[in-house]
Amino acid sequence: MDNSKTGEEQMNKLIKKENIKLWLNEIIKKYKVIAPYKLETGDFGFKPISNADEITLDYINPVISPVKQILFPAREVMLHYKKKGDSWEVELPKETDEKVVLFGIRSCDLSAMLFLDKFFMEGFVDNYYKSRRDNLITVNITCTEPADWCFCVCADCGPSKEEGFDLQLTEINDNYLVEIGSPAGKELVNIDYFKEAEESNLKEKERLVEETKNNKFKMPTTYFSKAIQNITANSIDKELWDKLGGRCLGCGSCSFVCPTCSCFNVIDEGEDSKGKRVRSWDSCMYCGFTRETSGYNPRKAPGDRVKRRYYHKLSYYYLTKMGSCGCVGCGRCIVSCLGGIDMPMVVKAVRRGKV
Amino acid sequence: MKEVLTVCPFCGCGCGIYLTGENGIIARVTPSLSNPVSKGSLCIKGWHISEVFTSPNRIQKPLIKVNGSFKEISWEEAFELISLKFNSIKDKENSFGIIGSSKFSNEDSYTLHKFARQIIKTNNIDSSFTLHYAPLIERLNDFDFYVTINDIENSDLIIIIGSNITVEAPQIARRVLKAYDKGAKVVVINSLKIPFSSIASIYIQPVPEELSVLIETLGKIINKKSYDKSNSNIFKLEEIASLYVKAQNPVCICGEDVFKGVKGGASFSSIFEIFKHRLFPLFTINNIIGAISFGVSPYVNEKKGLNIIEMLNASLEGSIKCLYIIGEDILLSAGDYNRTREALEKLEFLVVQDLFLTETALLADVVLPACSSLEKKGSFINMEGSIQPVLPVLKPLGDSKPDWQIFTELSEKLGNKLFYKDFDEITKEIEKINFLKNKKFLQAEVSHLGDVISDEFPLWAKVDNSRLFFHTGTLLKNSSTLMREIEQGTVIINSEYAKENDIRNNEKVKIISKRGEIIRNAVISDEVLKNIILVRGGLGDFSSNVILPFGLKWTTVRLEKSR
Repeated sequence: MDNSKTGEEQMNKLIKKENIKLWLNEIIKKYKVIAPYKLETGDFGFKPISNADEITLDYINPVISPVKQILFPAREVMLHYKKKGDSWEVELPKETDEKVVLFGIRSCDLSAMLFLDKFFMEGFVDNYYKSRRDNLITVNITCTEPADWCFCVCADCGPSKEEGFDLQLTEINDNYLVEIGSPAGKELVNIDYFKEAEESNLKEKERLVEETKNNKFKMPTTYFSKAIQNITANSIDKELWDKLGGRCLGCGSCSFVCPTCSCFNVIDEGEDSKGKRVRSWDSCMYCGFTRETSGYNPRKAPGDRVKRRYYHKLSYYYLTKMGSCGCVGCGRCIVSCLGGIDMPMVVKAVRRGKV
Repeated sequence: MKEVLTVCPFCGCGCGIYLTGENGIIARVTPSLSNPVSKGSLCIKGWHISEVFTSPNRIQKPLIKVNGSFKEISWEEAFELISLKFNSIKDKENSFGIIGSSKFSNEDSYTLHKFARQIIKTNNIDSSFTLHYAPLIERLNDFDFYVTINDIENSDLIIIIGSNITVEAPQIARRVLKAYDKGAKVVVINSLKIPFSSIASIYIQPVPEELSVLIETLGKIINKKSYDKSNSNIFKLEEIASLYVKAQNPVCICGEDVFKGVKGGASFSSIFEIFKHRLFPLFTINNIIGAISFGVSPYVNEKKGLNIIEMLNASLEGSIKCLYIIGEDILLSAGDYNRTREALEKLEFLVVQDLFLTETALLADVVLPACSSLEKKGSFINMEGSIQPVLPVLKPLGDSKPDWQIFTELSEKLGNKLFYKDFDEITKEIEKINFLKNKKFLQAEVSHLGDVISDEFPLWAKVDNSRLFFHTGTLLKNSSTLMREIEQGTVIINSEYAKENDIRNNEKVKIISKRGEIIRNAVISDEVLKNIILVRGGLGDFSSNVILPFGLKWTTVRLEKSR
């Protein structure tokens, strides 16, 4: 026990704030680095960078999660096919073994990645996802300034992670505390600029996280437990789901912006003799998503689809299957749902039995 | 992997979107968080832009019809042929017509306006504005944008007249819900039940011919004039009037069932008088405002030209001999499919410029491939009147060209050189010209004569767009995901009517208007009134134009059993 504790302590480093860009430029020499940046329009995005000056760590989460964007792109060519005589020639996209460092993501998105890992790599392994995931190293930051819609603290996915990271940075006064969570992460700090962190640095980090949790979140608490109970017990009136469904404009934004949503559709695009097989994001809020070949649709009414979506996110069955509920508290559904149906709103409605 | 901020090319909301082009495809669509319209969200159409514009069905080369089928030719050959034909047409002022797109950019619109008036020398130029917003034409010089999209969110009373708002303008529906959540009252006046009827504190469901009288009465109550109290909805109207008078920030939203409804002219006229600066009409095509603002209209020169419907009629009469149609699948958008088809077939020469081989393009002698708004620079004006820049994400597909460039090159071929070398020249010039802003429209009155109830046609029929279709569906039928969402075409019939006439669920019925007939599966539901049927959804949407008059979404019909 004591040993492991000493081990952990050795896994923590400290870097001066002014050196962070120098360090990042060292990483850029060896890896492809994708990091947050500010667009001229005022929005934020993630892009491959060639110089540390391009990045900003003071950003609002982009509408699409950077993790999802990289590991499970919106549209992906799975294969090209071509008729050759009587048979078909199939060409798979080229795999690369280029290591990618995803720098500066937040804990919510990291949590979502761990969730997606379970879906794409446990049991049936999705090689498209896995080949990218195997090459991905993450550097996440402890978030001390949550946005208006953030509630990661309720989903226990932030503002800081206790495990599952490669490297985790926390801004402490003039330094960043750097927690090392994996050999790949350790590899990144294998240069100058770092010194060993002390116990007091860790204490300061804990204090900061507690302060953030207690004082910085503007959203009212989202009480998942009672909602999970009610959903698992199937004790919610159909009327409530229909009322929620009545607000649904069927845009699918909820699924696309949710960093844990992983449903996709596979389409062949092309002519008779050649074409490509494309996989693209799909949404359980679309009517055709569950329509059967016979034409029968078990979830034709929007209310039924809202119910299905939240069962998938919150029922005990999926909780045990995936190890956590399907929400990391990033609040993107609050931003994006045209009808104002979002996780905190549904949890509240399901808990109280009314909208 | 550069993200380019541009404007969604579908409805008139004008969402700011980031598109990421990669190897000739759109790899990603992301709504802008900071754009005042999208604010981090898109509708189902916007999310699927990536599947539409890089479709293998796009036209990539000019086409010429030889013995009934199309053959690819070069731009040079196409221009040669077109200029020869155009030059051979006599009295172009009266025998030539141009129908411009309500989807292409302001710069395209302005170049086409100059092409029509200076090169062809005709005023017969129009967009689909006259089809969709006829009642507004006589008010254009009084019209202005007073209410912004985000004002709606802070409104305390929202009166929605004749609009299935969730379908017509999802971003506006979003604002209505936000206002409702903050305590605003919602009032719905619509002959058809809409999703927002359920959140309305007052819902009036008039029979279609009653709408204009109803609104006129509402105006009288509000303006404290004497009014007829025999109307069955009079208490509700009085309540609306009292809410309106008390409200701090009321907004009236009106849509398709006013503009393209029964007696739309009278209804809109009353709405315009009552609500004036609190009015928010839904302009549901991305740049339909840009088209009229920059001269794609028969009412902006010294002399009036023919509007889109007059051009079709003139073709039937034989006076219009040549049409140049850009980005408008008029066969599907004008209504009265058979008459439109006849008008197009009667032409001596038809040139169609579009992204896809549309139903209209199939009738053309020459088809020119235009590039989409994802492949060129420009600007759009959205439904609140904001001009937003449009930037290219992809290279023009195949040999396709920006519309303004096609007009420019064609005019040079026709022996004139007053056009533009580059895009910036046009931008500079249009800054000074905006016919809508400068109130430069000729006084005109356009009315689409609707049908009336008779013994022969005792039912009102509305042809409803699928929420998945933008305009005619030309674009969105190229998205596999959206095609999956299309439901089989149906007709919704009131249960009492169905019982009296022995019509059962899922039974095939013939819907007959004085223009033609279509067949649909019946769905019995009390969401419609007894004397209304609703023709809904389906790919067959296209053919449902057969029963409609020009420029309207409503007609009168009778039902028969189909064998």
